[in-house]
Amino acid sequence: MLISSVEELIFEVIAIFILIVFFDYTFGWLERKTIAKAQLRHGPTYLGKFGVLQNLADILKLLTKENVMPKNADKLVFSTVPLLLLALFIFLVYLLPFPNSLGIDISIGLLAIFVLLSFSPLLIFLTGAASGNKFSLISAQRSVIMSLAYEVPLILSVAAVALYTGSFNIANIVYSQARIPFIVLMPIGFFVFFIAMLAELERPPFDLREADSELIAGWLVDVGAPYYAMALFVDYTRMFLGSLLISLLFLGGWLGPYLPGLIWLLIKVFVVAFVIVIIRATTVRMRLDRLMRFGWFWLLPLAVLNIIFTFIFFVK
Amino acid sequence: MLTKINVGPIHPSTHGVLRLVVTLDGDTIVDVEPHIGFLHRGVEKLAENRMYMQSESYMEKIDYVAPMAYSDLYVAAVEEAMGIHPNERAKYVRLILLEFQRIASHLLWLGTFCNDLGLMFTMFTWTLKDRDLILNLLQDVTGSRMFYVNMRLGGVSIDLPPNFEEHANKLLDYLEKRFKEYEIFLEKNPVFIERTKGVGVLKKEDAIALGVTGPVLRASGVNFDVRRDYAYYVYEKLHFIPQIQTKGDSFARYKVRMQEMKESIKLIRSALKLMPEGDALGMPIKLISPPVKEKEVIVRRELPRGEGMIFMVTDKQRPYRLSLRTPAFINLSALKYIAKGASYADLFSILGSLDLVMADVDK
Amino acid sequence: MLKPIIETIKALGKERFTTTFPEEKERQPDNYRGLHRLDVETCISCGACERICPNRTITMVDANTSKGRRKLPQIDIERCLFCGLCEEVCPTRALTLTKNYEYTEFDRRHFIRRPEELR
Repeated sequence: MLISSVEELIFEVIAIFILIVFFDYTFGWLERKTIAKAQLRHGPTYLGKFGVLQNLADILKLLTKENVMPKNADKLVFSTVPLLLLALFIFLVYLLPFPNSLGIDISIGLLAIFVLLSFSPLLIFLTGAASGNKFSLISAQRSVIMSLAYEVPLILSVAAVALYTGSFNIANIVYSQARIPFIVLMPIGFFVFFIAMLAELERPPFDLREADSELIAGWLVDVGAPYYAMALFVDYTRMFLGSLLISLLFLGGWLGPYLPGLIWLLIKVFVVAFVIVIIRATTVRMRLDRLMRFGWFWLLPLAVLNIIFTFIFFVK
Repeated sequence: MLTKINVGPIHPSTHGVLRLVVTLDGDTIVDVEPHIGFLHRGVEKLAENRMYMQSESYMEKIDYVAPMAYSDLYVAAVEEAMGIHPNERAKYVRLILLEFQRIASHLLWLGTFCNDLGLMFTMFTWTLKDRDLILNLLQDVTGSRMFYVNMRLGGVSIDLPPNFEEHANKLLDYLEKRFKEYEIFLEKNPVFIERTKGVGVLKKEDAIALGVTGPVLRASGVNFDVRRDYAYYVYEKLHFIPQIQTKGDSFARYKVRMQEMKESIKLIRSALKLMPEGDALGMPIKLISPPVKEKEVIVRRELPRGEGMIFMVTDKQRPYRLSLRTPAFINLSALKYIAKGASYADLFSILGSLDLVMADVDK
Repeated sequence: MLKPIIETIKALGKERFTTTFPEEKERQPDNYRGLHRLDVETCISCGACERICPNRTITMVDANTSKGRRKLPQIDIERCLFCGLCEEVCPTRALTLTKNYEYTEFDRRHFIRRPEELR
């Protein structure tokens, strides 16, 4: 996992990029089909066998349309900040270790990821506020408040994992789950991390920003068509990041019998993504002040309790 | 600082074309002003220029979710003006079809209510599947799925087919099972309970003073139902019980409609058992109507949305003046008083629980 | 929170309820009210259908039949409500409603169907 020459660097960059694109495309198809099956319909069936080429057709259609910008928008910010957001999330995937000598191995990997992840509310607020539209401003404010409340339990539950392992290196965390994965050792921590991750990814029940039936898709109301395609890409890359973090930190990463490591990792990532999609099909949206109350009064004490338990029982 | 937001005519949650101008103070609603009239088609004026049985089709298009209820309201007014009474079997047949229509209307309401809260169509497709099975049954009886035009003077246009009873009983068993599953799906979901309990409370005195009707009134604790107090067809023989809840919030309005659906299933079962043999066909359409005996007629019925009233001044071949009081119009005017002091996201929960259909408001 | 999720997963295994339209079509009952069909030989040109229609859909126009030149009903599909009153009032049952519900056109003028086309 150490970079020794320029060819290896280029090979790793391209390999992980292909992995991201593969996951985004497959997850897009999986989400549409699963939600359709849960709603007793078919989903895309026309293009390709089982509708596999449908997302490709949608993205090609969106990229060929004209880019319209509203008059009140701040042109510089509005056209560059979404690209920065995409670059941020792709960069964060590169900081994670992958098996079979792909990926970068850093000794402070965990800290680096969560420090950079907290840039995302700032960029999201900038895209919403630069639209010059009342609805986008309201949804940008809501998403910043929500991220503020849910980042603290997120980091606290990860701190319990780091406390148990004794290092910030994600590869070490995965190897120390060789006997028991952390979901069994600290179930409260897993619960807190899962729900706080749903709030960071802005998936239902926490999808205030794109509240389809209240503000008609919030900040995406008047972006141009190419930016809409990029917003989808950002959404799915964020899902990939979230599911990877859950499976690396709590489910045992790439360890498992019989199959090569990369296949196990992908299986775990897809199982987590499937559970997130089923939750989307089942719940209604939460109201903002209830959400705040849930974050501060329920998740935060549970996360602190988790750290205390871990310290007492497992750290000598 | 007060801001005004325009929840415009084209919006995914307003059940038609309704414009609301909402005045907000931060996140709290101070005032709601509805602007209506986008769907006005002049039904009352159209009926003045057509013969009696020609405007039955226009009356059905007032409410596209439960058309048979309005058609029954109009034809009952014409029958009373002419002095024609339906026979015993015709009353039973009309009651069975109307109660099926009520279940279908409440199923559609359940789907769109969950849609407004943010569920994104899961509950909507499930309840539309059940409504589709009911519409298939009605299609076998009347020939059409949406605008039936099957009420005639003194009965219905096509009688029930011979195997109707067993199909209906099978469908009712399936629906009972589904209602249990819907209750588990919604009431064991803590997010749904948080979104609807304690939201939009309407007290008993306010409900009577504002004049609301239907499930909205019964959810605030008032014991009034047209099917028991001004009974028509055969509701007295079938021992009908109105369903009451006392809290007056969105959850109570949801619960009243679920209970009403189960009560309708019981009514249909007992009506199918007690129905006598005979002929339920009414008079076929002719170019000249029978003579009219009364000058002014008032008829009330319990529509799925509330209480509907029709006041008709008659002439020889056509109504001289027709005046309709539709329930959704009155329920919408109560929105301003219910929503004062609530937060912005609660507005859609309240609006969904009032069960509005804009064609009903605008006629 | 767990029971609703189990309900959703149960729904994944149920049979699909939507049909893929041009390949599969649903069945219809016999008294379905679709497009009109005129039996030219039986029509006696009484004009009852024109008088009973609420929306002034039917007009009687001149047409050539085997019994000479007579007036037959012409139907404007854009105005029709498909209420079925014209079928019920026709004394000889010459005008009936069939099960056809697919009648799309590219030009609006083709929606006025002359009696010869109502076959």
